[in-house]
Amino acid sequence: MSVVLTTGKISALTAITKILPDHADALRKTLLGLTAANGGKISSLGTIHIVRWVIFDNDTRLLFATNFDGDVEAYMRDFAERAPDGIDAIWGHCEGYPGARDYPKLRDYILGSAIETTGYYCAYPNSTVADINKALDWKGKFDTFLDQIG
Amino acid sequence: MPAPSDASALDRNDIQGMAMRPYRFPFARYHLLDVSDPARARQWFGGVAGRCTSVADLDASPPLAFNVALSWQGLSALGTSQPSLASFPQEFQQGMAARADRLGDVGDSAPAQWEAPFDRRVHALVVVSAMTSADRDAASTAMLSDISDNGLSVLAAIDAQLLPGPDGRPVAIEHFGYRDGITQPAIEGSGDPVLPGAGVHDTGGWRALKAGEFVLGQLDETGAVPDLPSPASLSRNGSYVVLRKLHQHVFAFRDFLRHSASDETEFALLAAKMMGRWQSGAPLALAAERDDPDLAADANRNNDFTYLDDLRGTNCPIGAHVRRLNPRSGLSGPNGASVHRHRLLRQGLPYGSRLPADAAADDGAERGAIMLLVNADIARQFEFVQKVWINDGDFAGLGGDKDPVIGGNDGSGSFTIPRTGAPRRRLQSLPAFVSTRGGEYFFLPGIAALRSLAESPAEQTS
Repeated sequence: MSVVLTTGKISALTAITKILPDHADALRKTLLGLTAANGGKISSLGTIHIVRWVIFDNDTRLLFATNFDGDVEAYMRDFAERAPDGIDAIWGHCEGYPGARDYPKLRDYILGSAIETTGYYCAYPNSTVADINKALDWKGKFDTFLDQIG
Repeated sequence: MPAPSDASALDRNDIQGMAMRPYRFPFARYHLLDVSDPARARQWFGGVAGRCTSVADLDASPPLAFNVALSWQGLSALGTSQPSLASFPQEFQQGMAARADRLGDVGDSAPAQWEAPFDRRVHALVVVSAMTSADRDAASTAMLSDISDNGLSVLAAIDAQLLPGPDGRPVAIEHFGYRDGITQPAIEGSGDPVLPGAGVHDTGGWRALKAGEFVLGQLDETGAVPDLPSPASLSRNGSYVVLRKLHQHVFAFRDFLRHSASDETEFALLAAKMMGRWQSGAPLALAAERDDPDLAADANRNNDFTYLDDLRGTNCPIGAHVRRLNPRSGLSGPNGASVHRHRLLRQGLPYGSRLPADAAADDGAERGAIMLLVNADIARQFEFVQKVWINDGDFAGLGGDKDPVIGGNDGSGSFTIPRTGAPRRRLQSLPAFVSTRGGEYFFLPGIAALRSLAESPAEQTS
């Protein structure tokens, strides 16, 4: 799938969808809420490094850009399984959105609105979100250990 | 357009038995067929529908079972309409060989290496299961004697049977020497009891999985009924069967353990850590120190655990084979949320003869398992398990580690054994102990749907 560019274990996906007329304000509110408090629901998915939504073109279009671990299909399916309400709350404001509960349609919608990534660099292409969180956890524990014996 | 999806009452007389209940037959013959004359072949399938073993038929513990499934190529060869063919899921349309990269079927396991008849896209699978080999042979002969007069040809017939135990009687032990088939998903409405450990662990104890995880047109674990392929008269009460022919490198498995262990006791412990169960079938989750055959023999105890008390894997490693294929409550991260959406009902039997315990070298013989994995959604269930749980480790914080027993290792695999009171042990340079010899995705129609094939394609798709 050429719309997904992979380096090491990390992939990039960028999609652009049309916002329904007069839906931009509600969408803006949803996105601010979803990403507040360190992105609770998003972080619970466990495979997303970074995700960004940008409302542009005079409130008519939505850009979705993400970096994630693993296969795009496993990732999207997981996303749809665990957070269908969250997905509906975002793309429900966009044209042609089929709903998150029919996975094949959701996949076709997202991949169908995806655009090719031309340039892509990642500083840690072989480290997944799980690897990084684990390494930070160990470093924290090691620091605590050094503090205790020091 | 997919058909509207409302759940219908579970019709145990229409669903093929293989879709919902683990078969206990010691003998089977798997026939792979090709369609040469669609009109006559449709008549044949329609005619044998009445002889297919249903879920209800298994209540009486019959001595024989007969089941029929079709690949997408088979449905196409029978003249199924284009809209109907196109309404089946993408992975089923493509077939197993086309999915090789995501399944990890590369190198020695790549489709280019697959054996006949899997070097081409077979059309149908006919399974004869029996309590005795004589019954299997007789039933297969009777069933298929007139096949060439009916627009079909038998490309291959693969015999499989339980291996003989110490007293010569068949036992449920696979070629590596481990008790097999303990963990099976309990399914609502199947008629089988919900043994502890068989389903989903809820606040009220163990409950069966929703039938829709295995049967099309039923409520699944999300509480919804996914859209059916069209027409519903063809797809309702159907299921998908994933056939895999897996060769087992038994000598390499033993050899690796011999080189990793200093004595017999350590050999047995390392092997059990890789498997997640001892040879008897006793789970490390309940018997971490040594094998416990009494525990293994007790169906009410040998599967009754969740891993919730062993999140670090000091009893049963997180990467152990059986823990990967059924992580239960043992995933501490976000990946624990949807484990019961990736369950498989396992049918199938070993083929080939046992490698003698004292073999000094690989004898080059073909031996392994014919696996028939049943699910309602091949991509979400079988392919997910194969790609994420077997051939990756990230879901469980294990980096790139693969399943130590059936993962697609290439000589550089590793396996981590967490321990208490000592640093973890890591086995390195793991090769593959299993190679894929072939396989295909099949649709297991409901019995009425199979019968309706005898009608013309035009009527079928109206």
